[in-house]
Amino acid sequence: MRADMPHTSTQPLLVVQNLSVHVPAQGQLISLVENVSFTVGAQEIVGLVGESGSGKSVTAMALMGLLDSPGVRITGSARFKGQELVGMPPRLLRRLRGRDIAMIFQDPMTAFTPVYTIGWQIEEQIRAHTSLSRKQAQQRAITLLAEMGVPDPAQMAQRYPHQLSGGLRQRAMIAMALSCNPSLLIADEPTTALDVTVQAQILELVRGLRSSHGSSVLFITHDMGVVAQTCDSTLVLYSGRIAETGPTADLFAHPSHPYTAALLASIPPITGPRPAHLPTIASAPPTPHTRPVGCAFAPRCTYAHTPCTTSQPALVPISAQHAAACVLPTEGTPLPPRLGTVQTAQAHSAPHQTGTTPL
Amino acid sequence: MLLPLLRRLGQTVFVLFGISVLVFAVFFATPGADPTARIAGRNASPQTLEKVRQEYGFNRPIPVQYATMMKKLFITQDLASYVDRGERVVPEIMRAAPVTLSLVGGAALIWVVAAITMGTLAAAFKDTWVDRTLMLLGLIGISIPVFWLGQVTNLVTQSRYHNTWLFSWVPGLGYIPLSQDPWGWFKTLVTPWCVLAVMFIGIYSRVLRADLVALANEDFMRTARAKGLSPTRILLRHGLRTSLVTFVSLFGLDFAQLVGGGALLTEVVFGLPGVGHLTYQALTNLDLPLIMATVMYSAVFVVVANALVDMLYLFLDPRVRDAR
Amino acid sequence: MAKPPTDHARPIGPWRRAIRVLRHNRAAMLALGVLGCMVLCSVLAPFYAHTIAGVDPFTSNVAGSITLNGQEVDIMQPNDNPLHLGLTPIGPTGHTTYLLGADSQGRDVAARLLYGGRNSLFISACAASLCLILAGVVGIAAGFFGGVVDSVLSRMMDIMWAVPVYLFAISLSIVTVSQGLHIGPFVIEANNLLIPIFIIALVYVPYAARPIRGRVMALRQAEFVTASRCLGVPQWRIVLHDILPNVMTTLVVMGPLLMALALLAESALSFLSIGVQAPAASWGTIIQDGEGLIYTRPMVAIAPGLAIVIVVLALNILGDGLRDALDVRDSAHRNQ
Repeated sequence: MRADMPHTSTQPLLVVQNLSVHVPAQGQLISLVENVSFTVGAQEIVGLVGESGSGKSVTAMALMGLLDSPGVRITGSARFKGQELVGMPPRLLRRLRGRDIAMIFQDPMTAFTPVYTIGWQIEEQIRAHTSLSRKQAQQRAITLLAEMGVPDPAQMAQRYPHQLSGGLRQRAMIAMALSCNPSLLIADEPTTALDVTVQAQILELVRGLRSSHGSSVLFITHDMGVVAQTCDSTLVLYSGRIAETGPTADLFAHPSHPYTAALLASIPPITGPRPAHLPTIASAPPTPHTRPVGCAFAPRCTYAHTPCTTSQPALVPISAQHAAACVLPTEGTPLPPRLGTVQTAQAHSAPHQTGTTPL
Repeated sequence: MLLPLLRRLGQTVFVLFGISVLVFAVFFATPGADPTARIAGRNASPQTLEKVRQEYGFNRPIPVQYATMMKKLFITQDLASYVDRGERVVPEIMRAAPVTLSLVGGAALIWVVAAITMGTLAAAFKDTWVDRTLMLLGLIGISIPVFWLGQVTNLVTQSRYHNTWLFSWVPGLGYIPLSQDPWGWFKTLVTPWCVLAVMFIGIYSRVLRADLVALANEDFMRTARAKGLSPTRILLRHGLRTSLVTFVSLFGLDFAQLVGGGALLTEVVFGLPGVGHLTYQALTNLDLPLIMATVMYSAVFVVVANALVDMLYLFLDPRVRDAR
Repeated sequence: MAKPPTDHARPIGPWRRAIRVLRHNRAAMLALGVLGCMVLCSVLAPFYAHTIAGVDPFTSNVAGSITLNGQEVDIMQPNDNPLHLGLTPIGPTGHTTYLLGADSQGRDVAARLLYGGRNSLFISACAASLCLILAGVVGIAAGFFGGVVDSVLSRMMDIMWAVPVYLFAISLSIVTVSQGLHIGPFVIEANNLLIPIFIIALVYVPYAARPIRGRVMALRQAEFVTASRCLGVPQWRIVLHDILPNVMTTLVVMGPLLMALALLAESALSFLSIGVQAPAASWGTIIQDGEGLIYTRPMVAIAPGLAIVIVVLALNILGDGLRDALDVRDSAHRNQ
């Protein structure tokens, strides 16, 4: 099925350039996402981090063609295996959805249609994209559930969504997303609604996908700790714009945007004494229509000074793949590197290219 | 399993008891409804009145009278009308019930099919002219008094255009039993079916559209889209199927009310001797036994339909199934 | 969810906003205009009858004649059937007098239509208001106090619910229409409009009370009510200051819809001649008058029917508009 992959393994799977999303509100277009660019390589896990309202979900929905609010405008480019997703006719995009790009959602409680069994819903997706018979699809659904660590999969396939626990439902959700062997899985806060222990299991599962299913993952989260454990590279979004982007290890070791630094500082350290209270970022991010002229983070930034309020800072390279949208590095006053190190994904994950694509 | 069933049964009996007491009380509290005077006729002599009172037991305490009537209605089933002497009321209802069932059944079929089509189309074409037109049509349907619509269709099909090819097949008003002449049955009922269905098409298509539109924002609809399903499949298999739960509960109640006599106005306008018509007659004659019988029949229907709806709920919504 | 009214200036906010939204709803404004026209026409009924048409719409006039284009014309005209048996009232004249023709008693249908509108609109408006008050009391009591109060009220509603609405109204009407209503020392005459008003209001109480009860039950769980309770605010104050303002939107949205239902019910009762009593008119009674003439003078029944359809449609559109304007759920946009 996947033999005719048009892209070579050296070429990234997804190349997003200057993606912007605008919606009309109160008589004007406001931007939810502005000029976001990133790439997702084969079998790479890319983290998309930001507070709620930072545009991370909107970015994902735009890629999937799932934004349907009236008057929404998506501009820029998103090339998936060489195919342009932005402006792709709905019929073609639909065929891609679920087959080549799959998505899992934050709340597994509400993400399944309540009136059908889990098995039926997985079969439905398989049958929508392949020519498998009902029996075969059923079999595949059970196999998938088993692969995702669902106990007694044949039984579970007969269950209705409300009969399963949150963790099982999320596993079923992932099983459904993987049912057609997608090359890209978009996971929109897949662990936020789960208990901490279940969260760890699901993260382990997602991390294992690249080797077990050869999928790349675009991992959306607001949790820096999760990013550290999971993602190869990270994109920090703030108010619909990129704040910082780079390999997770570099980004965590040398945060170059005050926002990233502040986010990292708010994670309790793993070693050493616990601080009396963790630093927090004062106030809340601006809404799209109250965004200031200059740097969107300026009002909350401890380093804010005149250049920050006059114009939007450009994305400046820190190292080969690491860049930050901040004036500090160009002014020669970069942030100090972090002292305590957070364990990152590199420690226990395979390198980007594994060569084979096991199915 | 048994306990909820028993509780349900208890509630049902309580509601039926309440209704019967209410009807009985209202009847005897009504001035001028004194059955003695009615049965004896105008200007009856005091002796005659006394005789009637004795014969019918009107001189006995009200609770006893109530108990006797209930016994005659439910157990011996030989309750007789006060107005048409000796006419048994239970067989009378049994004769009227098939008429009403024919009328309401056909209308229900029409309105369910039409409303699902209209509601789904409107939701699929949300905020376009299709949606607006269909919903305006629905609103007009809700706004037409059914008896007036019946009259106007009668005017068109029976008189004005009766001699044109379009309506020459329409038979005169009245009812032809299905067992006697199925084709005639169909022909006499087709117009009443449509007239009765109009209002319900309006209600149901609007409810369904609103439901489907609200569902479109649900997470599972987003999942269905992310799965790459076709819009039609998402709307029908995921949206409509989920909406059916509300739809069915609404349908059960309305259907029961109509079968229980709520279709009275349509029956009157089209000269159909159904339960509603019978109830209306009973009421105008202040014929307590017949009133009691028809009201109880209607209430039983509503209550039974409620129970049926609950069962259908179990079938349609797995969440309810487990809640039991 | 509606915001809790924390001070006295607060409740005006949502209402103002709703009015602004409603103003921009062209359909609702049109409906409001139509309703206004209808009310105005009904108010001007005597003026029309006496000054423009010059007729008495309440006395039978079978022997009379009118002057059309300088010609004396009988109101009741010989039938056009071959035998010329019986008389048929005059059809629409196209003149100010007997504009829509006469009914079987030789009365001006157009003038009766306006007088009928008075009664129909008055009854339905009063019935809807009364019903809302009753349903509000029942719904708030059942929803707020719960427990026994809720059980008793809900069972009562169940009983009323088990009887088809129209049958219920008809039963009550038949009982009261012959004798009037005697409540202790108070006697309401059979032809008093209060009777249909009471009856229609009563039968729709379960219909209106159920959603109110649900709303109140949801509100009772709301944090601001819990907060008030914790502060030791007396219950009547919670009901008055926290519950009622929030239920008000539900009531206001229900208003026009209930009035539409009431108008339909009133016309049905009057059509069965157990609503408004002769010689007074309502749109339902005129349809009833026109029933016998439906094949010869259909205008007698068609005109009041159309009036009902127009008013009910306008009320429904207005109700929809109000719901859109007041429903906080719809105004909260889905944000990411």
